Amino acid sequence: MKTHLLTYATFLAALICIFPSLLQAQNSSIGSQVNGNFQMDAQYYRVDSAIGALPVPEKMQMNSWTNITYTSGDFNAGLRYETYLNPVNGYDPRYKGTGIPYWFVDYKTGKFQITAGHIYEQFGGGAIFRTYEEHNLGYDNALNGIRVKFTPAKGVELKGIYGTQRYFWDKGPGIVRGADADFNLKDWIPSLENSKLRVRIGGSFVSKYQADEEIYNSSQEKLMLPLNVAAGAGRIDLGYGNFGLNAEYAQKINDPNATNNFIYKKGESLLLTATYNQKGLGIILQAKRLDNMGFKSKRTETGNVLDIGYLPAITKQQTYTLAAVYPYATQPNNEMGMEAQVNYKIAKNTFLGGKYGTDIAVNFSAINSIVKELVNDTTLLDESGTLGYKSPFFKVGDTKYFRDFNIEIGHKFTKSFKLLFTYMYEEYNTAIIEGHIDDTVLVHANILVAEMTYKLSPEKALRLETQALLTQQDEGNWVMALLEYTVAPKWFVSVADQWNCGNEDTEKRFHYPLAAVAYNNDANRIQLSYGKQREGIVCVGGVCRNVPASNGFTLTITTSF
Amino acid sequence: MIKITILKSILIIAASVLVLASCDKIDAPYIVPNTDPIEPEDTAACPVPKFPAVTAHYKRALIEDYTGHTCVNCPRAALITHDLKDKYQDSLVVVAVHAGFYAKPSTSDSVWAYDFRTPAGTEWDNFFKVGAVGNPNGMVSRKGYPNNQQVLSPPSWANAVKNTVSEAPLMDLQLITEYDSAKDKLCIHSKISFLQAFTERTLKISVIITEDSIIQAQKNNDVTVGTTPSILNYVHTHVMRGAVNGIWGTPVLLIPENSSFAPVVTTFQTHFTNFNLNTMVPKNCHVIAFVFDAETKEVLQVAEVQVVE
Amino acid sequence: MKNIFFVTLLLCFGTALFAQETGADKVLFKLPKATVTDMKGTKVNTEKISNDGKPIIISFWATWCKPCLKELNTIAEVYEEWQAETGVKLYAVSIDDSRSSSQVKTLVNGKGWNYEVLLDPNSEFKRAMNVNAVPHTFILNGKGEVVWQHTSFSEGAELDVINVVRKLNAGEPLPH
Repeated sequence: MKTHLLTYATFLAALICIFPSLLQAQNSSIGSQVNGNFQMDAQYYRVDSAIGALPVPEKMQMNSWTNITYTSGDFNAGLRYETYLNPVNGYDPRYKGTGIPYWFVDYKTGKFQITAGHIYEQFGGGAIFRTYEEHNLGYDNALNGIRVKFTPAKGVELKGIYGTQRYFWDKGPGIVRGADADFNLKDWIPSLENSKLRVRIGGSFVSKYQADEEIYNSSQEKLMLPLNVAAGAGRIDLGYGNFGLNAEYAQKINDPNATNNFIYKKGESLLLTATYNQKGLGIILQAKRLDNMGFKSKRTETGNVLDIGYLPAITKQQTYTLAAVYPYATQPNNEMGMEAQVNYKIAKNTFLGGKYGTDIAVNFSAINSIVKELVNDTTLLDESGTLGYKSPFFKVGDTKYFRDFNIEIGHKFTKSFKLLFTYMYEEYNTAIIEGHIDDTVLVHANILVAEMTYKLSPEKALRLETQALLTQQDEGNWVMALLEYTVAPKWFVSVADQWNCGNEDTEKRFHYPLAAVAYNNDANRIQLSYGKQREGIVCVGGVCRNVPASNGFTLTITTSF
Repeated sequence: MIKITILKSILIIAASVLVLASCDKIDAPYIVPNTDPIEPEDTAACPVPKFPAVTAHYKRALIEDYTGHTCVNCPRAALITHDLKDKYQDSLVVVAVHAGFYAKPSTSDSVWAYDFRTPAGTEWDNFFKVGAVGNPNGMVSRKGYPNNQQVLSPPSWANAVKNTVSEAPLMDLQLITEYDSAKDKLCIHSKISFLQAFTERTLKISVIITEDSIIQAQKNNDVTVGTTPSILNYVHTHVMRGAVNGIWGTPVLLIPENSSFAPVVTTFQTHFTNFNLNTMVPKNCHVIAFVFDAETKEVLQVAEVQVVE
Repeated sequence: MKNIFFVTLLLCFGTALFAQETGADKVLFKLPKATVTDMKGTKVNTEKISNDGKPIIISFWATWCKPCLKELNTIAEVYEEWQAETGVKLYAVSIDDSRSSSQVKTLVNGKGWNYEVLLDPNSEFKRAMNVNAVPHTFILNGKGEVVWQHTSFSEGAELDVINVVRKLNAGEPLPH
């Protein structure tokens, strides 16, 4: 089978070599075309027992994937070749291997679009169905099956999906079926056409089937499992002038599984978003509640695989290295939270705005547990084989998971000097989010980042990032500096150092230097870096794994064609 | 064009640095003694007992629960092994392997400073990538290794055990121990009696020691198991304390092919002398022996006996 | 078999990497079909992206991507001048998923950008365009064909973008 696929892949690979030249010869009258992209990350490891970088027997590890898409009129097909030999540090070891785990054919005819093969699709916000890939994070839950899209009239879209999900090099045991309908009322009600009011509504239904298996409640009892588990969701998107309101509510029937300790309670989720927008000002308010919504196409699975629904965290995604040390991870079965964000631009040529204006963004998020009450006097909370707990909808639980208050100010002082300043206060529950605890449960951290860009000439610029993470808990204080020199648009050179200067254990005050050089040309990028990477922890669904520290070279090549 | 040349050189240099650096230059001596030699056991010190005749043969399953004392989700997994052990009794053997990040002792002098890790457990964890997938996770009779499917989540152990015990056993494995408390010496005798014809296959036997009833602190987040976030007097069970005959066991001496089935019997003796040194309590300890395929690593049969009756 | 495959792939990669060096103003590919949504929630077919025969810039970005914000901020300062001079139109395609897609509008308004903003929350368009990582910028000629692309952003790279647009308008060969 594998040789078969390889023959196919070789043939296609050969095609892309020849095709573009053929096609380009015809120039603008392109009837069909072949495109693709490629990425390779190779790491060479050195042993560094001080920081915990263990010996890697193969010394080098490599991840790589190549996408090839063929388009001809309304016909579209593609495949992805992946190779992980062996998966680089931090990837799930079960990715080890080589093959073509993804391919599809797609045809559009009139009001129909049919896709067969591996499918990425999302219903509404994705609460009960979303398949997607995020290769840099090692995530892929593609649906292997079919999809039909039908657009009977303008403003109406109906979708149906049927298949199983990707499980590394295999398929998950559950069959996932679903349908979604989306209506844009503007296209239906003539009086809305020119009104300030916008209304979009949608609904979806998903059901998973998994054959029966033996799950013991105790040595003498086993669980009666539902073989079909259904979930439904409804959404509405309202807009009036500058105001917007968006709501998505989902419900799931009894779904005893490994992530909820096999309880039979129904699941529920709600996400509410209110926005106000005008030029120079944007405000957003969000509220969210998740109760027993872990939804996977395998009952006994606990890892970061086979998710049917997507329940994103409503916290700001931080990208500065030290601000991202304590990232929040959604707790699909138990979470209640809110987020507020204001973006404001102080106009040009004002006292505070200066010559170029000033950008301000303030963001706050707070996540707690939900309230869990006993079902009756004889049942423990979350006891398997019971309804588990009762939860009042509007009550916020006492356990603090996460707090983040951050403010970001960007100002351009002169034509060649820009400053971006970030302050962040964070509280982070290691027990809940990382599933392990040292002596404290809640980490309190203050984080400061200043990013300065100085233009030396129209193409050359220097960028300096200075960061500090101040905390009494965990590993104590960290500081970091990064200096980058760029020659637009092709060259990047950077040096950085992270220093755990505040570690209580004075022998663990390590430096983590990193140097990188990158060359870009059109859609090609080659980057070589050398340095040390600190240890990290990844947790999903009650299973946590440690990503060991590393010390060595990384070579990354990406291209699109 | 100059930049393209630079680009090419960088690419070539980078690639060659990476590839050239990935080699292991071996200097003489090229031959070293095998670290797990088959030492003929001193049968005078450990006289071979008479094994009782067995009439009912059945296959037993081995659960290896990879765990750690700072892993909050692990007590729930331990509970699953207890339930399964209750259900399957002698047909199931459980080992709690403390290995990896969550088994690391805390450097500060606290209740978390104790260390249950063993060299064999750590090596197995690295080899089978259990901790790399996450904790808690485990293996049932080490099945699925050739397909990278050996790591199983705790709720899926029940099905795997059920399937394993329903298989026809390839062999019977008997285990007899004699403990001499004065000399702190444990003699371990095992006997393999093949029950089926088999084609050429390299088999190995591993002997390990586990201990029950060790009271130490354990992190926990499940109220149905105990207090959260820590259970200070948690009772650890089936804790693997070490491998008696090396990390990957000892080869089982076999006639290479036995297609015309005739009962083949092979015995293996070994001894262990370190209970006091390792502060283990002999009456809480068990000896576990398992025979596995050296290539697929699948555990074909397993047996467990108490050190002291 | 595997070896042949790898060699072919390597060759392809080589051709792909260096072919563009010589392929001056060749058409790279036609805009693929995908469905995205605009800021009013209306579905838009990417084939319909147009600018009355004038050049188009398509820039893939995300609210959490610092270099992307830098690129779009930098261009925002000169966008009016660019439009007046060349008639170019910029489509900023956000790949934020439902975690942050509601923040796109807030950010765009907060920054005061005048771009055509499109949402691609499940990366359908991103995959169709074979984008590996953001920022990734494409330039289309008046016929809606992609003629230039670039990944990453550094200060001054915007000069290359407008330079390509000017050459397109003047019918001169494109720099690479």
